[in-house]
Amino acid sequence: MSKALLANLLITWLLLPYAAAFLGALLPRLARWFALLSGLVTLVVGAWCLMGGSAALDLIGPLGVLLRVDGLAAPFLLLNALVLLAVLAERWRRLPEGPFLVLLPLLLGGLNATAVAVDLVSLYVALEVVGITAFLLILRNRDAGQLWIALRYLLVGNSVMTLYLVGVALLYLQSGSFRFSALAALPPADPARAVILALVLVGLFTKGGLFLSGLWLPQTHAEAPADVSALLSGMAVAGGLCPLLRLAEQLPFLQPLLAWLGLASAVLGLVYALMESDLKRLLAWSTLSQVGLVVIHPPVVVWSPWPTVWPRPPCSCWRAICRAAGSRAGAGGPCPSAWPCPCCWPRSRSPGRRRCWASAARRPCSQRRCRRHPSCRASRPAGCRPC
Amino acid sequence: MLPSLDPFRLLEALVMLTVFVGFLGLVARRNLFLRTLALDVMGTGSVALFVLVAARSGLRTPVLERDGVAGGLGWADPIPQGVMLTAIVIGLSIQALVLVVLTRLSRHDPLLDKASFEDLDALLRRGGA
Repeated sequence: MSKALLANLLITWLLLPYAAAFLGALLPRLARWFALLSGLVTLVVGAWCLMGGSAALDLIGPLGVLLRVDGLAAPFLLLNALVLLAVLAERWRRLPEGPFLVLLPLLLGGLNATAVAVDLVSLYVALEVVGITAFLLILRNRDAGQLWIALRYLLVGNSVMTLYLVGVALLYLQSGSFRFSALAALPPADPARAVILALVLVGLFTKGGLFLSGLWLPQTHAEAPADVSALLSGMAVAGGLCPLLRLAEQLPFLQPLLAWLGLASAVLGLVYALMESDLKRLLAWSTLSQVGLVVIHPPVVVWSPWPTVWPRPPCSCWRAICRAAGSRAGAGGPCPSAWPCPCCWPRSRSPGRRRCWASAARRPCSQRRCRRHPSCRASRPAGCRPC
Repeated sequence: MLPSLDPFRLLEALVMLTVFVGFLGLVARRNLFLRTLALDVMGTGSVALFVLVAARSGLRTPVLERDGVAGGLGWADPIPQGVMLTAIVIGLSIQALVLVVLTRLSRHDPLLDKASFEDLDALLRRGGA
């Protein structure tokens, strides 16, 4: 497939939910089919990413919108599509009143954009789309409780996003760009970097519902209508997490911080869930806990190990295993090397048991170990024969 | 002795002060309407920061004109201005939504005191409504 065609297809995919919402408002009879279509297309794109497909879209020049559809976005896209389809299936026969079928694709569109955006301004717009749509979804019955919860959701979300925007402006002041990579490229000693990072991270933590900044989450999710709280817990929270993981990929020093915050969030959610008697609130606390688990160990959640994080591979065995497991990291990127190598570990522990390969050139037997594979003797190197 | 004061730094400090004042109002005020106003002050601060960042390279609006260049002013940076327009639109729509909700909530408590809605919170938590 040519690159231009792929880019056009992906842009169509990104715009499809918005078109579905618009057409759904015009043709209410077909609205559920449009929503279904946008969910299915997202499912297909997520599966394509999971299979190793990736594309970088650079729209409107070097300062424009940068999108990256890759393996890191894949679980989030699949999650969006599955939750949307599940909620749609649950509500297929008895639709709630109000513009539910218009808001559903809008939420999907915003979340797809947060999963693939790699610049901070696109991310801001996408997160605000998610926030406004979620606000409107919560307001279904318009009783006082829902109004108050929705108002609080919007106030909290918008105030942290304003702080985020201040961070974005400071980043532009420092580096003249809105990219995640520009944030990573700031000199570490620069005090502005800490300020920018703090402002941006406050926005993402709160949107993602992590630890203390996620304490707004349980009551909001519990008070919303049941299908909407499924959408909020399953999809809307992930809108803050995927950019967080992308940032941690660019800035490796954030990973210990994220791991600790994730652990604290997991434990906090767990403890409160154990003490809770209301079932919906229990599920909401469980969401807080699961969010913590998502950020603790991204390689578990994200299909491919992060290529930039892992150090160089020690031997070819890992690469073979990675390839066998279907991971993209085996296809040329480095493999995880922190773990002992399973195929050469017993042999490397006792040098005497190493397989010895003599090179074709006649050399003394002590030097006959093939230099090309210094630690791993699992396979016979080309041009060598057994000792 | 005062250090030589860069006008850009001074304006930046004032803008940050605006954002901070807005944030303080958002946290400290009990009246929900005043909180909404504080949110707007914060939004104004962030927009002003973008305008300030854009004005570093010049003051002229980056819109193409038919006539020639007027004066010796440079162009303002169009990128932060574009972002700022988006932020203004989003901020405006959120303000509108918040005000609609406040109108509905004022039927419950005309004073819009936060505490009365937190009572509602407690009521909801106990399972009644």
